[in-house]
Amino acid sequence: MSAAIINDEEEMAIKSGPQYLLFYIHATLFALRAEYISEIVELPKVTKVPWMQKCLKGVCNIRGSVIGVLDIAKYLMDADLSLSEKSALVILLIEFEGIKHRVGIIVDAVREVEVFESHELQETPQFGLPFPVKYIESMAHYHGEYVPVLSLENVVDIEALSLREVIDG
Amino acid sequence: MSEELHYFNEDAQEQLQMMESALLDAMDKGVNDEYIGTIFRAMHTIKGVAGMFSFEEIISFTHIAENLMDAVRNGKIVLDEALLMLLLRCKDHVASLVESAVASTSLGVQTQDEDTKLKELIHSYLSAPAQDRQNAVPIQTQQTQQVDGAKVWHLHLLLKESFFDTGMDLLAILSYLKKLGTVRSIEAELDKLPLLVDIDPFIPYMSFSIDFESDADEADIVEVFEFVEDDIVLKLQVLEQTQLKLEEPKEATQEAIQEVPKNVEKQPNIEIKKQTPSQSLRVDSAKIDLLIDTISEMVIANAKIARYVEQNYDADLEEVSLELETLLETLRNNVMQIRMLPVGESFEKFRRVVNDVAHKLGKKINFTILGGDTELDKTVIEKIADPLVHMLRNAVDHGIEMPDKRLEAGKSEIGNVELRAYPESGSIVIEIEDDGKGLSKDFLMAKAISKGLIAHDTHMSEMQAYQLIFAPGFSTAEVISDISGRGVGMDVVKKNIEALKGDVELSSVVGHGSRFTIRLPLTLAIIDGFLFEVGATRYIIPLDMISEVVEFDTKHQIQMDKSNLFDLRGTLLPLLDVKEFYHEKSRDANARKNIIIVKYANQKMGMLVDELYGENQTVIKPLGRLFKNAPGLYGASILGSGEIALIFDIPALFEIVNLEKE
Amino acid sequence: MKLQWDTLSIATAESLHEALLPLLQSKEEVVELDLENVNKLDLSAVQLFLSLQKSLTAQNRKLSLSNCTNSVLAAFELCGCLKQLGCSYE
Repeated sequence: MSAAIINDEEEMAIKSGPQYLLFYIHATLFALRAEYISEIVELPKVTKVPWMQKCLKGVCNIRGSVIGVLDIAKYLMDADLSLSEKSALVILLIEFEGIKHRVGIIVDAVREVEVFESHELQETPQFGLPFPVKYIESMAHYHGEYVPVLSLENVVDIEALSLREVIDG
Repeated sequence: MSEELHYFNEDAQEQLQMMESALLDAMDKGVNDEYIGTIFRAMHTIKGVAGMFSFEEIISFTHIAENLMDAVRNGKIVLDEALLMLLLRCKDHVASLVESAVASTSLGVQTQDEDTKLKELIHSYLSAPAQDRQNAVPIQTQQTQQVDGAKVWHLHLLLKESFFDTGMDLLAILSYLKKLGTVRSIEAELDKLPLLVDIDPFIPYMSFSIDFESDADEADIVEVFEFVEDDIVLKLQVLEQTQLKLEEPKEATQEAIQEVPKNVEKQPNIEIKKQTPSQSLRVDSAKIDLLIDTISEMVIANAKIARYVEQNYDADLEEVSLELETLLETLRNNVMQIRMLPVGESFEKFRRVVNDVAHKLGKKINFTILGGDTELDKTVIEKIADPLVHMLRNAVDHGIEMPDKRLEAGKSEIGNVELRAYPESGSIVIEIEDDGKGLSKDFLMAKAISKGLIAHDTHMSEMQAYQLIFAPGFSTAEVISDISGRGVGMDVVKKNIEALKGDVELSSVVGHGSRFTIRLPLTLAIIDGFLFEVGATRYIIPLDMISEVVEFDTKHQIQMDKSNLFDLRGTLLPLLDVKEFYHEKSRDANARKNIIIVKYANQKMGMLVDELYGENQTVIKPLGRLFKNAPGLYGASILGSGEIALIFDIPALFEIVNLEKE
Repeated sequence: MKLQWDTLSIATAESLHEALLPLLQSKEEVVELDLENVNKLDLSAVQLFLSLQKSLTAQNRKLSLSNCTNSVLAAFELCGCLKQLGCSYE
């Protein structure tokens, strides 16, 4: 038991680089810089706010604060949300117009926090990915796979998201 | 900015504001002792406080200005119109000195020039031979007047070695003391004074015994020595009391500290002197915000208890919870009250603006402020100032005519501009009214057409036409006048007001004047709300915007073209179907429906909703930047269950509905 | 001796002290200080005059302040030394 801990510590000591949160959206693994993340909570009840875009699910109560809930699967993979017991809300801290905003994104499950050194990150291929390239910052090498690292500014574009839904007819 | 520096800044601003008010009052109503005292004290206080920070420029300037005011106080210089104007400049100059001291930047060339110029001007006053001293306005007035309860105080004043380091002149302090009453005798004690060969000229050796008759209380007298309190030893005793002698003969030499309260008790008629420092405390407004946040959380927590009580039928706990609710409401109101300030103080600052503009344009203006004691949240007061200044400038510049034109039109040559504030159903209304030339619908429309804002053949109601003035691109005048045209249009004014959840409208009668009406919400944090449900979502409306609630009956609904109307006891009102408006799905089509009649700014409308839940103490939380464009919503509130309810922005809703009508 | 300062304050206290000291060595029975030029003075100056007076008294001599301006007289009065310094309003 103690050996395992030592191994882990050694691994952490060897690896010095930024931490990333790994999580699933629709069975696809994504990574996001941990420094943007303020907390991860169980998905609370969401109250719909009318006239907003479909990906904006509404607002929820996180310990007395009202926080917007975003379904990024909607535009990342053009898929509908599939909620399960493992669904979680990852609260992000985003600086916009000089103020830090808290926004929650719904994920299907959280995997772990991992350190990636710069040599483990590769440039995003310009085509061939199942989602729009602008949302991906880089690709991380992880257990023999490539995991897309999300670009926070593009995934949570507050200005674009706050525009009203265009209602036809 | 350090806390001390912050307080210095606030203190200085406050003193300068008082000085300006006194100067303007003196211009309007004539000079009196009180105004002179205020102006003197402003310079004196700023000098004293600046001394603690060694702000040399401020000290040197205020020192000279103080000397000038001292000469005025002593009747050596007459405070005439020209000198009042000079003092206004001095006030402005000190403001820039304070600004650069606080920002720790060096003085700009202009400020330095002004410094030199003003100092020269003041010196010319100070060194001018005391002309017409006989004719001078007798400024010293009734200082020896006896007031009921006047006492004879015995002061013993010992100067510490450090006294001369303060830079304060004891003689100035003593002459200030004289303002509070009559010095019966003053005796210098010279026992400790060394011979000239032994004396250190930088150390004071004298102490003073002063018998002083005054109705001032101890605090007043101690305050005189405020700036040197660390460098003196002051002893105060009441020697005799002119009124109480018969009743209290044995008290003759008792210490004043014990004497004063007794005295006050026995003589309720004692006039409280103006100089008494008011019992106030400066608190950083962020601390109050924190307090309000905490109370908000407590309100939510108590709502949870109430919910638990309801589910578990716990009568004892219910009683406690209800008591807590009452206490929290009291607490909330008290804390909110701290944030509320009368608008008058802020409004006073505008007199200067109006005066300056009128002066520059050669117009004559009688500026009136009404309802200065109307209270408004401090933040709102601060943010509304700029829009108001702009509108007042406009009123003087574009509204009021030149004196000759006014006479031609059969009006008095003095134009009237009135600024007033009053509360109205949960809002505060601020109005700016002038009796100038007014604006016609045709003029506004013609201008809007020429600017390409509306089409040639647009038809508009009078009210719509007046709103054109707030359209972007409308009020940027062709000739940018020095006064109003600073690149800011009325559209910016409207935007600023809307950012405060308020609105503004214009009404006008050609030849008789114009009136701007601004409505602002009273507070920003907690409101009494009314909770109800539409579809699956809960909503809240501020209670004081609801005029009544009625059960919905289809036979009262009237469909006309596209708009929905309903008949409320013979009055037709627009009806907003919230479900349809927000594309909500119906939970139960057969559920009972209700109509909430909301009112705002002389308008009424009905809102079709589902279930009603009743009153709710609503803590307003922002929805966040993502929902900035959510139509008709003000914010959100967290209910006792932890669920979120959305708060309607009724003024915005009226606007949306009015737009849809067009 | 005629004093040349317009304003006597703590800033001039040292030089005034130095200017007054030689008077202790002079011969005349009444030392006269002409204050015609002095328009303003503060306690540090008053104190030096009083100390001079005290020193002269010890020598059985006298101090006389002449041509005092009104503001100087007012200052003396304010600190209770008008009589002590042998001055009065005309």
